[in-house]
Amino acid sequence: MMLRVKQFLAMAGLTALEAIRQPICLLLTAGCVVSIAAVPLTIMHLFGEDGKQVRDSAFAIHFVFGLFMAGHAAGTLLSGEIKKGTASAVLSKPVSRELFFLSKFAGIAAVILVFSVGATIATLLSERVAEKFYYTQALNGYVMDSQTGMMLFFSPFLACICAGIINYRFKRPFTSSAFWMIIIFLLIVLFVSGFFERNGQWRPYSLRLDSRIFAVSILVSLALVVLSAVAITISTRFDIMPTMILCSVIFMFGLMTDYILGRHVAESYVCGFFYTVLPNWQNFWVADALSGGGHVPWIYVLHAGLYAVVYTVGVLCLGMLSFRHTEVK
Amino acid sequence: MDMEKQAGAVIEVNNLTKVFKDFWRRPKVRAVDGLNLDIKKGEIFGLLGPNGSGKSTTIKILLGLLHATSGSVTVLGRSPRDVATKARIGYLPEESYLYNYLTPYETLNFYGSLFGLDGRVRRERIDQLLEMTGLKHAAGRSVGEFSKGMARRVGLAQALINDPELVILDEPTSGLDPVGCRQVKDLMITLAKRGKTIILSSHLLADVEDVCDRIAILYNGSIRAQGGVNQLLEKQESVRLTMPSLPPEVMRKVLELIRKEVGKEPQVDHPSMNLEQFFLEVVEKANRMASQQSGAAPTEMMADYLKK
Amino acid sequence: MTGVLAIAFLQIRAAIRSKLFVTLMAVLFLVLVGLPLTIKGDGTFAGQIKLLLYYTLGLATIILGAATLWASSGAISLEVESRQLHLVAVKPVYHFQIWLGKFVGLLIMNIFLLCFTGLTVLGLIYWTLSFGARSDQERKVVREELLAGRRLTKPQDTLQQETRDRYNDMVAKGAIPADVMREEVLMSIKKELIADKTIVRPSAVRQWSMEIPADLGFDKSDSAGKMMLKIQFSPVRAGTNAVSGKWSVGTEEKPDIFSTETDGRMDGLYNLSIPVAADLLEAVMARPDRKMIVTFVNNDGEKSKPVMFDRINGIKLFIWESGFESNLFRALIIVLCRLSLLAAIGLTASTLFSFPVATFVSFSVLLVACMAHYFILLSEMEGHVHAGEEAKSSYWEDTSEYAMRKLDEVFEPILQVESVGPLSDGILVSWRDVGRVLMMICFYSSLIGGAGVFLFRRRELALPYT
Repeated sequence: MMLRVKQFLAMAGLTALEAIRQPICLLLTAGCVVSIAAVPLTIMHLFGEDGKQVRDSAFAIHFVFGLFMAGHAAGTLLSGEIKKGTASAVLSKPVSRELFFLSKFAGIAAVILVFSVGATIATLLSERVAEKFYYTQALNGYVMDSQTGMMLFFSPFLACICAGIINYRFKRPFTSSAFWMIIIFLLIVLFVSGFFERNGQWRPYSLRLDSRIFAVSILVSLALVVLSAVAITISTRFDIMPTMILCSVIFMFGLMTDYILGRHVAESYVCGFFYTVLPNWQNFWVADALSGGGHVPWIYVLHAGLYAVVYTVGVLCLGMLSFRHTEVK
Repeated sequence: MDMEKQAGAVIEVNNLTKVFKDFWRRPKVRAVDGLNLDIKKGEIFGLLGPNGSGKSTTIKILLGLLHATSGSVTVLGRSPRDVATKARIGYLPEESYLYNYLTPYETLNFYGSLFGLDGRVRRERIDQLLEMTGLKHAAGRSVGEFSKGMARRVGLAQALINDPELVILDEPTSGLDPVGCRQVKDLMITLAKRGKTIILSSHLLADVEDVCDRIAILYNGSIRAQGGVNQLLEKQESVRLTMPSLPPEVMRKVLELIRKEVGKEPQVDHPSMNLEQFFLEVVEKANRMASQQSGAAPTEMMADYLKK
Repeated sequence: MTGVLAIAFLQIRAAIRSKLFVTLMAVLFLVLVGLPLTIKGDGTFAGQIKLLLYYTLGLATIILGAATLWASSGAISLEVESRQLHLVAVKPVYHFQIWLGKFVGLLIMNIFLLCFTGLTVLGLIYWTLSFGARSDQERKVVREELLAGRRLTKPQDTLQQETRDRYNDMVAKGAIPADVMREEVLMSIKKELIADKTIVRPSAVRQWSMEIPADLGFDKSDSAGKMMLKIQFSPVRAGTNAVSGKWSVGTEEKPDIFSTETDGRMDGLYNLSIPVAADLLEAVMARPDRKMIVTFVNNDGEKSKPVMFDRINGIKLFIWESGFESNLFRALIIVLCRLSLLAAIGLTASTLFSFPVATFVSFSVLLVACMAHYFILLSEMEGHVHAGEEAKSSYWEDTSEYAMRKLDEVFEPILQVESVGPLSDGILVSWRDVGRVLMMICFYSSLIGGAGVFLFRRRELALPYT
């Protein structure tokens, strides 16, 4: 048993490392943070609605970039291994196919979760940057926290510069260093911003951020994990291209499942079948609940989490079944 | 090899250097370092060297797939990146980078089209090449299903589809069975007799010794030895005589004479067949008895258009 | 050319044998046949057909767009990665032939898939028309109003000219005080004119003049159902207001060749359709300026209330120009043009980057194009005013707005011509539109392709870490 755990961890770690070393992973993470940081600049002066607009856009960016990453990593890593023959090299060792398949998924899911941590920090900070009504003796009016905004916006660039220096000095791979650096820099910005008022003045440390964002971010991350499971399952049977296309289609249908199938569930078994089989992204998209001071109840997060777990387990079982009969070169 | 050598260099390489750089433009690996080569028409030239000695990099520069960091390279009198020159070259890479979903016939047809070969000529050549490489019976299967050796045969066929003047073969016998190896060697000799130039890169020293007129041994990107094979391998200080079995008395007399005249102890042994010759004989026998098989069929046929 | 075609067919063969083509066909079929089953529309048969066209074609376009972007982003990069391109690059083919071959391959596949989409949609429409309509009347409405390519004519918008005329008039009369700025006067005149044009008070009369084109796509003697006047109006105040008035359509000399009464209590928008009969058309076409005059007389205040018209879209004249099939054909050509542009973007990215990065870059270009357009629309929205002390827009805002505006200028020519939307509204997608898009796409594709080939030529294909 211990051996299996060790094998699982080794293979999952290697998958995560491979995923992080791909330039696309860095591009998506940096792109996601920069886009979220840029949102307050493009959405301006909506009389108190800025916070909501920024949150909604940031969640959407987190979702879209994450889907791209999940689809790509899950869709390419396994089929790439099958194609290159590395899968057969691993499977010639005393490793079961099921364990190999699950470890691939676990590695990718771990990367997705780290990416989500970065996106969540960026969302928290970006929401703080957005214009809010501010009242002091010296100043009253709508103020954008441009100081935090600048730090957030430039953190991926600084992270890349640092990773560049590390690569130059110690010959460490640039992409993985930059990926981790972005997360570290975001944490630093999160910490440092606690010392500033909105108008840029020093204050005793206090981290006033919108904690309601966590629940929504967790749900978005769960949706990403579900998509990785779908993508990796498809990739057991299909080449990279068809996998990507099928993932895009499942993603699109998953967005519309409530609209096109939901109302026919009672009348038609076929609709009911597809409604159950297709992932329903709407369950994970609850950004609107935060408008008007509302929040997402944790019990909902728990239920959605349960749905995600059941769905993921189901899809992974299918994937294992399919991978059992996949010919590896 | 007593063939007619024609004057004129097919490949001229002067002081060629290739440095692979990292992102910061710092030199990472000096794969080729001040290499000079002069390969004449109709010659079989062997590039030898251990792994990572710069053989493949040199070949890729000759093919225009990599650009030289410094030095000059001319292939058939022009730059290796000149498109018209490429029509006169055939190349077999160190691994068969073929499209897995194509059949051998489709593969050859595709590469033939890239040379702008007329449909009829293409079909004739494909038939002959499939026959020659022993893949006729597998012409409808996709290359992805092939063993390494069979894929190698398709690779070899595609390198010859344009009846090239210059053939560059990178590890041509790797993955091939001894029959295939012998065939490739015979093919090279035939092509060279027709005035084609061949560059062969290999670790298999026996292959190189069998066919090459001249060789260059590379180590760490530069040439450590270069010249004619016989000239490099010949031991001027000793002589070997081969004769029918001698009665013990005659043998004793001969040895006595040599000892007396030369003053050194001669070595005596029975010449033995090498493993390649032995294997070829066994397979030939089996081939005469076999009716059907799934692998590459042993064949001695040479494509007609390559003989002309 | 042989080389280009060989590479193109190789690309197609790869798509077929890697199950990409089958997957796409299956997905398209599922969407085209499955989606209409779930469409309800606004309850009318015409609404159902309209949505069927819009959703099926729209979704098919999105799916094909995504597939084209994926496929093109991998077309060259994956072959460089697997080193299959080494064997192609050492053959006597130019780099542009490789790029073009891949492009033509994708183009041929898209043509085939769009033909499949078009034929399936056509089959679906015929099937729905035969079995889904409740009456012949419903069928007739759909045939005349949706399954056609109709040219849309609106009354001439003379607002700018009238504003200037009135201003000049006021200046001539000396009615403008010296300390009032010109822009302010122009703005107030404009607002006044808009109010005049939008609202018709009780007892008031409002006229619109529309020019009918000389080259009608049908014979004048066979004009039944070929021309339709669509009027949309609403009472000024929401609620159940009675509106009654008289509509007349004719020429300047004889403005009431056709007339009808509007009388009733209205809730929200009111739609009126007036078919243009043969005698009316004859009379209008007999005039040298071919002007058709539409008149609305609102009844007096006892019977009626003020009525409001949308200044731009209140009155529309639809003129039959072509059948549905040819309109669909042209719309699909425009879709094909857009897919080709995506292919060009993807292929150029694919000459430079690895597959995932190329995909990311292509999707980003698309996203930035759409975002720039959205941002410009947002910034032009009225009421976008800064509050508080930080009223001055910052350097960052100015820079980002400038960048977005420039980007929008680049992408606007490609994004502006719609095809699926007008097609599902029964509006003509003209050959002129097709020609314009075709020219734009050729220009942009060759620009993008040129850049791709230039960079591809400079690239060392056999680097150890590619």
